Amino acid sequence: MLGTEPQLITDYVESGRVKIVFWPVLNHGNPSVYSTLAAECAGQQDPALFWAAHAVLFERQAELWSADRDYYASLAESLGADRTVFEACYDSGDGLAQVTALDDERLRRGIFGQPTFDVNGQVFAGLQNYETFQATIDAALAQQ
Amino acid sequence: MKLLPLLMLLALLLVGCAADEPALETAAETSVSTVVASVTAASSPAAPTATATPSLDQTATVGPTAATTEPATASPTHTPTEPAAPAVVYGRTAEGAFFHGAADAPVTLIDYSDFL
Repeated sequence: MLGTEPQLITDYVESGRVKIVFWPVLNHGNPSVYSTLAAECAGQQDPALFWAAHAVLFERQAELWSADRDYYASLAESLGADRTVFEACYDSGDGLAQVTALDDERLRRGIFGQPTFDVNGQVFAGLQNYETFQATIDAALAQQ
Repeated sequence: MKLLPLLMLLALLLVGCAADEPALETAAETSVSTVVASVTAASSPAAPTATATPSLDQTATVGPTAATTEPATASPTHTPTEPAAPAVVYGRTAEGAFFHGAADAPVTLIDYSDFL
């Protein structure tokens, strides 16, 4: 998704026609949980920080397998988050409860692999190119 | 001998004229600065206070003064003259997932994904 996301934002999100929702899938054990928890705790301070973390976490994907609390706190701080508040969230369990609840919900929805995309109810499994998103979104917009 | 007073008078006049030239240039610069400041101020929310400052010293501080003394409510008064920007926002869905875009966008693209 990250590869096509900038173009989708330019073409559809900035004009108010599309809203992109990131729904976490915790399919890789603790590294999945902690990276998602880090994004959650950044986002609790400001949803814009979630999306900043979202971009950086994908860029540093290879590092996340061994990333620890301090790694994520430093990352969040570098994005502008308050480190103390971030650490309180990371340690409290509230953020963890939120990300696991979202993961449980996606299982209830029958989403088992990632990435999976849902465009107004039309589901695509696996990575998709820009043209696929474009055609699907344009068709959905035409039905409005 | 009668020429001496005339020469001295001529010399005084020349000195006087030479001393006036820089003053005229300064006055001209002041006028240009004031016009520029007035034009700039007329297109900004701080126009009322900026146009009331004709001296060189005051025009030189138009920018910073306007920036620091402008009331916080000045921006909204300027907004109606600009084209309305789409409401691109960041937020959370009812379930708590983060979204990027207008909350009421006609199309929702959900990205079920893992950072790994």
